[in-house]
Amino acid sequence: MPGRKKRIVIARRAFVDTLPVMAGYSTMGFAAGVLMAVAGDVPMAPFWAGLCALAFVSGTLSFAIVPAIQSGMGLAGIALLALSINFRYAFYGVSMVESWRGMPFFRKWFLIHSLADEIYALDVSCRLPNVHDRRFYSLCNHAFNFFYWVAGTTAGGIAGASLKLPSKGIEFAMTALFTVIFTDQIKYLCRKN
Amino acid sequence: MQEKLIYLFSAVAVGWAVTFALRLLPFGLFARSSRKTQTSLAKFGEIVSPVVIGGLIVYSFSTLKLDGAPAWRTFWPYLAVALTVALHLLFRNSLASIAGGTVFYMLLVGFLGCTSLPSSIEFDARNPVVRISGAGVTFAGQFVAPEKVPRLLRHYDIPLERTIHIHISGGLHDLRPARQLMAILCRAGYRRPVLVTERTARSEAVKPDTGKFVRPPVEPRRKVYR
Repeated sequence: MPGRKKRIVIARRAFVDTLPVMAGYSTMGFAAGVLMAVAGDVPMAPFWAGLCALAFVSGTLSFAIVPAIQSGMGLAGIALLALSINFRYAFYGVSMVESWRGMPFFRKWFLIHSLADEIYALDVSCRLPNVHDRRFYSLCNHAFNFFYWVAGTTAGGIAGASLKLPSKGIEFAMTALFTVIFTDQIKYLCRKN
Repeated sequence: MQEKLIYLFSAVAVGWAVTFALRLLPFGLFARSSRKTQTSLAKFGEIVSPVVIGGLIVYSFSTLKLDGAPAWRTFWPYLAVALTVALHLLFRNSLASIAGGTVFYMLLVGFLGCTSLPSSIEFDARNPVVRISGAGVTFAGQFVAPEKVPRLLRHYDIPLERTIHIHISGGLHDLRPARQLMAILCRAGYRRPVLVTERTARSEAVKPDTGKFVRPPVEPRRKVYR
């Protein structure tokens, strides 16, 4: 753990770096929360939206689980859905194994638990030379983004459950999300080869 | 209620367990493997993930509904997907593309009232009609075996208490297949199947623009067998 002054500097830097993600996470989370709330047959929707955000830290799964729950999909089906959606997370850790080795138990588990797309991208792009500084940067980065995501989703759940938002067709947000991820990946592969 | 809560909890728990296990995988399994294995794994992941996401697009299309009918049969979702891709290629801002595509789709189906293609306007989930003619049983424009009708109705999310019209074509004088179908529907839990002949069915037509059910005049009601 770096010294107090340095911690403040790193935390401030992490906060500035996460600002663009804040815009994305809070709005996407809001949409996911609204989706969960307008699904209709989920009691206490804000709670469930928040819990999903807390447990998955994966926007894709938060979106995809809503129609699954609605249609009463079996638990094996949900496991398969989660497996296929979040398959890519199994490869994110690979580049983190070295720098997170030997961290305190809870911090490491929190970092692993909240290892999602944008958070991972920020972790990787961090160019601090000292490994302890990098770890602290990762911790701040994960904590900030985790908070944006959970808060956004819960707020969306509350808004969707209490306000009469025009919600017809909002389930398209999931398709749009997948389309954008797909376009990005295809573009990335094309540029690489 | 309690069952529902248990189901929701277990669904979230399963989702969490699978996701966390996936994230944990490299730290346990590949932590000691060579750098070469790790790079080839990362490459494998790069190729696999677009395939998976492509599959997810198809899955999410299958969950899109318009008034209970599958929306992939209309072209509004495709228009919105095209707009999303175009926005993304132009501005490279995920948030703008997702919001733009979604708002466009919501405008289409919510405010402009684009519900279904003109060719499939005969199918209205609020007023489902199963047709029986000499050729067989059709529902929503597709032929279906009589014993599979309940499954098809469930597929279109038609609730059990909805009135289901069994429309008998004018050329068919034998009511037995229609009554058998009615028995099948009753056994499946549908409470209000109604036999309708050609004439009453025409008078009970649904206004395509509003989707509202038009009450038939009293006179042809005698033709309805319950």
